[in-house]
Amino acid sequence: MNYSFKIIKFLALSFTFILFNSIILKAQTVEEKLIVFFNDKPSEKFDAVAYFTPKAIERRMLQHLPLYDWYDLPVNESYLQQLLTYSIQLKCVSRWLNAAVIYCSKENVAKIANLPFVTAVEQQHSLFIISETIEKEENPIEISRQTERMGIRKFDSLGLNGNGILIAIFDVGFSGADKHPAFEHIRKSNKIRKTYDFVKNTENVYHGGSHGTSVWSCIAGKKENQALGLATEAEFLLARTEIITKEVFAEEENWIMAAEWADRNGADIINSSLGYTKARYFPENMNGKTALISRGASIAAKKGILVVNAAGNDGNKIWETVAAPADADSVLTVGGVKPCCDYHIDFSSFGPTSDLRMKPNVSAQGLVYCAKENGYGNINGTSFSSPLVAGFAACIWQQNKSLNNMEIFRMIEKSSNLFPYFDYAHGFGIPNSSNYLNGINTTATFDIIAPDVSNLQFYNPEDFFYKIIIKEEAFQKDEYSGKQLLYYQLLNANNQIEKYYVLNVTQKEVLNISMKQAVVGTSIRISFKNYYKEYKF
Amino acid sequence: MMKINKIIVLLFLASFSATGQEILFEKDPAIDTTIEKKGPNRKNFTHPFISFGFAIDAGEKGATVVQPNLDQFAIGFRYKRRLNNTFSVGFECSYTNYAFSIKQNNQKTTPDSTINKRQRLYFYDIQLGAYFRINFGKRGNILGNYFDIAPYSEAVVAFTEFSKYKLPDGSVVRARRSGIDYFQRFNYGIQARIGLKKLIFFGQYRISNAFYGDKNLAEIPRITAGIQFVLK
Repeated sequence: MNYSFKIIKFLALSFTFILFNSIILKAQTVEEKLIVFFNDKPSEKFDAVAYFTPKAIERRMLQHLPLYDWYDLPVNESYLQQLLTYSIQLKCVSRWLNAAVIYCSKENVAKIANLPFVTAVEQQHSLFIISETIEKEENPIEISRQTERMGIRKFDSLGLNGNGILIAIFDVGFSGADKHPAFEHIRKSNKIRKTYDFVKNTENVYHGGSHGTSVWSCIAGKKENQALGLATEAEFLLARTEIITKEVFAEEENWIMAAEWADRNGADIINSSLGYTKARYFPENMNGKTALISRGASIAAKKGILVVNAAGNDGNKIWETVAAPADADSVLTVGGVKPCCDYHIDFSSFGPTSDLRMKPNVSAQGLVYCAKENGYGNINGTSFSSPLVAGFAACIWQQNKSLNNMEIFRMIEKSSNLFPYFDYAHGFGIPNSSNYLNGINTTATFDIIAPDVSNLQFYNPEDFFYKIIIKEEAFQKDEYSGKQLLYYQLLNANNQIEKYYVLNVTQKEVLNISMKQAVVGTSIRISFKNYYKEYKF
Repeated sequence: MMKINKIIVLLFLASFSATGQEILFEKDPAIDTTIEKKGPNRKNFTHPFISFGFAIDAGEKGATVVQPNLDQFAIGFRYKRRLNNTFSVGFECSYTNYAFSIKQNNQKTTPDSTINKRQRLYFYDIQLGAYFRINFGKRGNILGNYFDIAPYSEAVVAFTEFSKYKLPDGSVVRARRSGIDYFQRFNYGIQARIGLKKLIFFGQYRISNAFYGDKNLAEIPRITAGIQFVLK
């Protein structure tokens, strides 16, 4: 038997099979997708007034930012022309990154990299990966809880509802939102300023999935006059940047294009309930500097835009860490908490970032009642925590128009229920209008009592305890949850959090820490009903 | 009685301590900056897999098989050593089971010329293989898209013949024969695979003969193809 012939036949069949599959995937194996970064920009004068909308100029003036800077200058047209001679297709151009995304043949990659005006070339292959679903329904929840927990009534009494604030929402699509009753008040008052689909390059965004519809409703939706989010009177830019069935690198480029578009159109806030993890990156890449989208989000923040992003839904998966662009330093990262009792909801991703920065920054309800493509219902995910905080941000910015984005960022952190306590599951906790308007009530709610061993010459440290005791007047269960939560964390001598906890307090003597456990130099941080204390052992 | 009293006291104390603080949440933060060495796109990765294959060629005249039929099932583990983002090498070990349903016709010579109602040949193998992998595209800590070429060898641990036939009186007999000596104890071949993350399409070609040459038996199918699932 001629085996060699059969082996050749078998291998030929295999390669035909591979070729067939490659064609199905995308005929890109012969093409390379590149991001080409340029070294400079043209120095001729830039007409910012013609380029930006009046709203974008107003934002810059209010925040005392220059009318334009290097990032806003156009990419050198002659560079693009030269690049086109080596390219099969020019996909998009980013002013912020001073870069172009192109498709070219494999042999031209080295030629492009050697062009005198090219500083770096990053390969951006596409992958065909079915994205994981992050939404799952649970038992019905109280509609008003998600907004009342953040103090919508106080905002309402002051007329704070996001009026005059322009919020850009980047998502997979807004299916059904053009007809949904949840947004009727927005459509009636013509507050959808612009829409753009960066995937298909059209203006129609009302397709592709209803994730964006649900997210939008958590900022401004209504059900029979009951608000689902805090900024019901804000204005909107809706952008489709994500493809629901695929995880492709193009989505990050779309995000940056959308951010430039939002900046040009005067957005004050970007809400992005999107995140990219293991399909593209390793946990050590979550440092705010590696992922393209995180770099783009940081530039958006430099432009005075408050970028609010979901922490991610990998808290109960191997990945665990916040997803890009939530890893970026100047992005307000929002984690999720249980609706019942304000502590970490299982799927919400954890901090810190790989370079050990604190994330998430704040939290909001991770299971919400919102608009869906047809009607309303429950949905969970940090995707819906993020718009609740974006709405909160719009309300406080409405009252403090002269503040810049990072001042609003810090103000949101300071308005949160745990501040100045933070941990890597809740950040500073849930922002609340009472804390924002009245400041945090710092009445002592507990005492830390150190053991008295001054008269003892010899003692066993295991027999003596530091005691944390709740004060009589503070020992009261929350009416809604029937619980009273105490957050605490143990820190090592380098001031790093070693372990953190949430307890449901059921007796006044909450914690006993033996002197053996309480090593000199280590410390404990405790937060209970807005009162915070750090104790060094 | 004393013992019972003690148990009651202990149960009482246990219920008392249970009314203490309720830990709702606890967490060790990931502040360890050591880069993980194990993972789908890390230096080392081991994962179990499960495989289902179908004979592609019908087999030689005299040993043609019923098609389509699930002819191969395997369960095992695969180790991957990453060389760089594009290339990896590795080895795999699996329990592989082949079950070929021989067509009962006049040309039949394998394992004999008797025409039964049904006849199956079962091979119970331990398969060992090595592979070379080419990965395509930029990716994070996932398997991504890849092509493997994998020579393998397998030891036939057991071989049985199953026959179902009718006796002249109309009764049906099911017979299983083992202790047969006409099959080769060791086989070898080559496998090619295309992987899309955790889903793998494979084709396999057996180079060696399944039966000893002096038995003059027709060869059962050499080419199988099917699907594998990475179970991690």
